[in-house]
Amino acid sequence: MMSQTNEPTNWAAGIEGCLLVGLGTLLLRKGWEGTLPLYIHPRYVPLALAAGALVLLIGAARLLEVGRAAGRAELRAGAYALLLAPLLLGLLVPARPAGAALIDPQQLNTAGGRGYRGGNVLATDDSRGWTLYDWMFARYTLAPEQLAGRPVDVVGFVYRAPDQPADEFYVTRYVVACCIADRSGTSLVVRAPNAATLAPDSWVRVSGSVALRPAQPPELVVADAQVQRVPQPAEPYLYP
Amino acid sequence: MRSESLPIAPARRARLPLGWLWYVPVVLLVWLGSGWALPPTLVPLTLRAQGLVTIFLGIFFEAFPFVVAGVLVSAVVGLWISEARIQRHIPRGPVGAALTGALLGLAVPVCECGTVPLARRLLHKGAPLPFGVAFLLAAPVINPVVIASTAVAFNGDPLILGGRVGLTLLIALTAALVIARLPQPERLLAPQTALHNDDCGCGHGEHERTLGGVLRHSASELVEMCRWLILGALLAATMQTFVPQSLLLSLGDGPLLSVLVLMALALLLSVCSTVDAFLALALSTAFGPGALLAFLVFGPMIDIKSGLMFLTTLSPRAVAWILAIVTPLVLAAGVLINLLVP
Repeated sequence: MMSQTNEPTNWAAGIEGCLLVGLGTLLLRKGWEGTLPLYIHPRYVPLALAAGALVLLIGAARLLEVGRAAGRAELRAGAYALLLAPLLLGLLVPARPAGAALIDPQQLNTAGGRGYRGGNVLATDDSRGWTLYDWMFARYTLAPEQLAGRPVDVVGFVYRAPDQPADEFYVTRYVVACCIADRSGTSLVVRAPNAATLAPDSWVRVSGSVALRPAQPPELVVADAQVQRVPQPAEPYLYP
Repeated sequence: MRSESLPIAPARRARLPLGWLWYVPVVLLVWLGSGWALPPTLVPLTLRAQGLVTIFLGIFFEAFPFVVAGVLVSAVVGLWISEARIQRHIPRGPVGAALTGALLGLAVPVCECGTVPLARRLLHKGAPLPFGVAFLLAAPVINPVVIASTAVAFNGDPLILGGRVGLTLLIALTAALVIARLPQPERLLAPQTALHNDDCGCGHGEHERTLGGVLRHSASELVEMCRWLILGALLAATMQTFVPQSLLLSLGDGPLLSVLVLMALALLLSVCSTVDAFLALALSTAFGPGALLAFLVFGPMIDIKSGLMFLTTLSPRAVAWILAIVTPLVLAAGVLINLLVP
């Protein structure tokens, strides 16, 4: 919907100014709350906050034009509706990390068989210090016999694949390079007597030791797992 | 007035049709994602909707700083750099103009979201069309940040690194030179871009060369850019939520299909060019170098997000032409590399 207006009040300036101030405030608020890492890599948080502050200023400058003649200003309902989207969604939808609902089970543990960016995974490592990302690369870089029996101590969220037995689940974490859109899932299979009581997306700490299940490459199973519910980490994603 | 001016297009605006209807999906997504007063049959959709919202906000928050930077640079160019100066420094011939545009990203390292407002401003100031098209297509790849991230991801693999830069340059130049020869050039720019003179064209009257002037000058352009960014991010997030990657990837067998699949993936994912090399790395176990290069070249040129943002600068006809030129060239290059390289 568009309309030309030459009325003294520049409604376009008022609406656009409010929307831009709103967007800037949203970014700054997300930064204040510490929820920006749910959406983007922490290294981009300062950029996002700077953008929020700048847009706040741009919006304020636009609001100052409310009393000026409209000139060629037009009301753009479609554009305003779209600019409302991040505002409404950011404010009204609870900020939650990406979870089980977005998992494609066939894409788990496929994030790169060539090259490992997180550090060195060595046979001499104490594997209790490994994250799920480390475990994924260990499958590619170490021989199966070097993995069997190794101790595990990881934190992740619960994901249950459609065909999984009741006493099993995947302890999962997303690896994010830039923003959640480029996520890839890493996981270990966990077998535990209380598996059925764990809700999807609940955060758990899994400790035990790894056994190999025949597959290509071999699937790692924490067969004697102790599973403990834990709070969601402040940084729920892993970074390469 | 420059010697190769494009005639001013008749008043026509790239507008979202039926503007009020956009409120419906936005409100629906808010309702599903918040879970307020949902009937029991819709409750299972809440987690999916929240996931979609997370992806959407991730794409938006990631891209937004670059759009703001591009708009601010565009405002500075609009206020401080005259049309005469642009015409002096950018070659007028199509080849020189296209080459300059393609290599400008080395000095202006922004991703595809940041290039669009700057390209629009320069075209509005009378820069030749091949310059603008080449800049839009090449700058997201031919810039130091993306070249470095590609080198890091693939350990400096000369085929991937050289192939990405070389193919991007070649295809961007080709597209720019073909577009330059199209009939009815006045139909190739979006109306506000086509109003080339030293007036900013943003609906303001006089404005000052001050910080306040830059901010006021930026506001309307930022609204214009954001609506296409948001639309593109919503579409990409929806695709990511409801179309499993494995479904696409399972189709990708053979030298031709694999290229098509990764081009489709690049289009749908709409991931920033600064990190798509790491995504390509993840796919390298299953796909050959031709398909990987197609992903790395096609995505920064054409994805849902940037393709829509092009409409702020170019007419739908020009965007369709770009798609028609870039797509088969990338496809052909990818298939050829798949066949020639083991």
